[in-house]
This record gives sequence, C-alpha cells and structure tokens, in this order.
Amino acid sequence: MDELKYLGQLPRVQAPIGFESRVLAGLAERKERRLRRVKTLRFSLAGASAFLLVGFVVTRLFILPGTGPIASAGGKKDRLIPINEPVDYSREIRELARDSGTIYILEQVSDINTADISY
Amino acid sequence: MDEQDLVRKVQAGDQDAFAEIVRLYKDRIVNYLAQFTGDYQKAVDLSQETFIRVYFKAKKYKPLAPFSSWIYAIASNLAKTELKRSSRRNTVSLEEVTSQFDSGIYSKDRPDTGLIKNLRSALDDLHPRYRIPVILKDIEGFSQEEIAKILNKPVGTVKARISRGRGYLKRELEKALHVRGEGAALKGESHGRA
Repeated sequence: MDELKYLGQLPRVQAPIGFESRVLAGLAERKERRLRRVKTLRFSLAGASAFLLVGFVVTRLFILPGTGPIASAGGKKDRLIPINEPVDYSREIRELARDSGTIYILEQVSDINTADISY
Repeated sequence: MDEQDLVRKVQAGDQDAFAEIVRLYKDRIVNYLAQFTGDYQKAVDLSQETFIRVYFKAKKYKPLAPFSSWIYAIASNLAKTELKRSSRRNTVSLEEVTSQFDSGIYSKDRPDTGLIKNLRSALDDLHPRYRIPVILKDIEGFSQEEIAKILNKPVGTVKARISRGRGYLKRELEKALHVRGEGAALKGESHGRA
C-alpha cells in the first residue's frame, strides 16, 4: 500500500499575513508584563522586609520589655538582689542573759527558716 | 547571515535578529502545528507562543543541536500541552458540528472518499506519541536522528514510533478503502437492479 507517500502531499499551510508583527506585538506585551511582575515582586519583597523589621522592633521594645534595652536601663531601681545572711542571736542572748529578771520570748515570726534581707 | 549568528544576536536581546528568525521559520512552524492539531487558527496561536518562548529561552539554547530542532522541540511541547488541555475541556462548538455535518466530512463512522481527507482523519486519530514523529518524518522531512534530538528520545524509540504510527495509518486507510469498496459495490448493485 503506497498511500502513505501522500502524507508528504497533505496540503501545506502558511503563516497568515502580518504574523511577524503579531509575534513582535505579543513579545512587547509579554516583556511589559514581565517588567510589571518584577516591579511588583520587588515592592512586595521590600514591603515584607519593612514589615518584618517593624515587627521585630515593636516586639523587642514593647512586647518583651524584660529583655529590651529600655527595660534594662529603666528597671534597675526595681531590681532585687537576694542575699542570704545567717543571723546568730545566741551570743547576744547570752550577753543579755546576765541581767536577771529578763524574760525572753522567742517567737518564730516567719515561716522561712533562713532570714532573707533585702537591700 | 548564518543562523547561529542570528541566535547569538537574539541571545544578546537583538529584536531584529529575532524578527529574521520568525520570518525564516514561521511557515514551517505554522504548517507543522496545523498538521499536528488539525486546526489552523490554533496552529497560528501556538506558533506565536512558540516564537515568544524562543525569544525568552534563547539563552538556554546550546549549539550542540541544530537550531531548527530546538524550535521544533518547543513547538512540539507546546502542542502536546495544548492537546492535553483541550482534551480535558473536550468541548466542540455547535458551529463546528453543523459545518462538519453539512459538508459531510470528518466522520469516523462515514469515511469519505478522498484519500487526503482519510489520511487527515487518520492522522488526527493517531496518538500524539506516534503522530509527532510521523509528521516530522513524512511531512516535515526530518531524519530519524534529528527527530530523536527534537523529542529527546533514543533513535530506536523514534524508529519504533514511526513504524507503529505508519502501521496505524495504513490500517485506517485500508478500512476506509474497504468501506468505500463496499459502498461502490452496493451502488453498482442498485444500479443493476434498476
């Protein structure tokens, strides 16, 4: 069967008139669109970076004040330095015990065993 | 100017060189895509898209293979994608249906008498896997090695696909001829009785 040789004789078509200018117009439009997309992307990235930066600063200054620079500068006066100092009353009591007629009532005034003095 | 020089200029962003490439290839690409899709308007649109891609992807082209193979590869990929997309949509306009009905062509159930029309119809029914190499070989005149480069497949695979594609076309044409023969016989019979 030789009919397949007619494949090469199938009617050929040509590009329509003005095809080149259509392609070039399409290309110009696509370039413009690409440029716009790049600009949008650039603005979006800049906006996102600025937003992140502002977020970081706000978080650092107001939301987490314990670690921020303002907190460390202004909060010094409220700071407590715990110092444990054992207090020995035995000697004092022994010295005062020479006075007769002195009655000592020893009363526990705190639930805490060690005496904490805050400076 | 040499084709490779043109490509180098396009890679540098020269629009005149690009216009020259469009001028050189437009008819071949439009014809190839028209044979592949069977739809001239779609072929023109796809060709336009092919050339735009050529411009934007020109920097990726390496002169290891001929430039023509590269353009045909882009066109083939676009056509395959379009075919998949349109088969998903699978819609036919009413206008198209009525015009085909009126003209009495393009029907699988009623093979027409023209050999070219039968060939066209069989080609449209052929799976794209086989249709592309058959068109590239038998209509566009590429060698098997060039087709292998275009499709990025081994030469053996290309040979097998061309052979299977041609086999299918032959069977379809024989079927159409058989129906035509029967039709003619029936016609003769009825004339005889009359």
